[in-house]
Amino acid sequence: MAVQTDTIQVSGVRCERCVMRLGASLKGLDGLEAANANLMGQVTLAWDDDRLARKDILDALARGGFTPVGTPE
Amino acid sequence: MIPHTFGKSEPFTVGIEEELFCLDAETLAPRPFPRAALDGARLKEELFASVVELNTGVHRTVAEAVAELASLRARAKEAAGEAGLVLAAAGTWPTAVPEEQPVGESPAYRKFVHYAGPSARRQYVSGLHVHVGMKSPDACMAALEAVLPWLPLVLALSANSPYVAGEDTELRSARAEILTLLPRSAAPPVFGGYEDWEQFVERLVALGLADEITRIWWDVRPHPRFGTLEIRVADQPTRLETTGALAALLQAMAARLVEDGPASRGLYAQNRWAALRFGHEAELVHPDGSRLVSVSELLAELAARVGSELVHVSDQAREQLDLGRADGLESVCRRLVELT
Repeated sequence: MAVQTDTIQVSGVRCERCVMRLGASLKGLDGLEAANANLMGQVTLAWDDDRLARKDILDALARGGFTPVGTPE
Repeated sequence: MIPHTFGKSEPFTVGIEEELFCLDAETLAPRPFPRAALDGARLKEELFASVVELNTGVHRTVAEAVAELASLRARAKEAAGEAGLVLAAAGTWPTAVPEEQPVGESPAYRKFVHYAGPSARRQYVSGLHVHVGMKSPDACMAALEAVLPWLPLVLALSANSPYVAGEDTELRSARAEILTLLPRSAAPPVFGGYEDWEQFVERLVALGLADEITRIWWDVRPHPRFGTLEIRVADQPTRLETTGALAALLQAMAARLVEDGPASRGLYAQNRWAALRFGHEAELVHPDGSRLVSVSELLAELAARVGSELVHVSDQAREQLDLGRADGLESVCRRLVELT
């Protein structure tokens, strides 16, 4: 039941509308407790790793057009 | 005049209250929280014997308040565990029949139940209350009107009470509907200023309808004893991370939103209903009244206005419903205990 937290850098955030789209790309991820994002492309995540894998969050971001930078999988 | 402490602590400091259900560890049926573990300050009794209230002290940041809450949850769980009990955080306890739950021993609570009858006995619900320090009574009233139009959004984000008495209520926050059974609930009336509010409360007390301001259950209210604006609209989150995310948003709202005259109570009633019915999937009337907007769109606008970076909060009601439909309510209850 451990909640993991991490801050990652993504590309693709240029404006507040992008931040909103980024939030929408995370919708429906069971186990993602909270996410913060800013115009600099920094995304802070808190998720339950018994229910959700970090990779699934990164995949959802990538599908939304936000590619993690410098986070090798 | 009601004594107050506005301005005594730094503006926008924060304190958090959580309400947790106490349950038999085997059956997960509600059981009284051990009274010996209550200290009247950090761990307090609630209306029902099987609900315990956790109260933090005053903190400069939400992160500090959440750290204290973590230790309070641990302390309360330990006390419960010694009696063969467990704790769970949610807006309602899915299998509990509210009217069957024993009321606590406090004479004030018993007097209230005698007065309010069925309306009181149905209040087996738990909320998250966030206190934000205010520099003056007038600042508090201005902040109340500034945050009010946005509170249905917070209710939608926090919705965590789809089940009551073992039934899917088809509401994402049944708690918010149940609260409206109380005589002074939902949006506060429009007041001409702090003195006007003070006179209203003093009148209720003089008439014997309230023994103090805590017998007013609006979604947001001034709290003169603490010198805070108390925001009570949110369902009790299950995970501390969700509590932290919502509390940080509320603190930023109280600190940075600017009053633009009395907020529309008509739009508030519509949005509050939509939020409790649909939760994250609600369409809310934009606070300027111009259009319907999704929860995610409104969150993005609010976050930009108040300098918050919050873009996602877990959809707790939907998670309960998904698990309940797949595996039944016992699984929902077990999950809520595990996640608390």
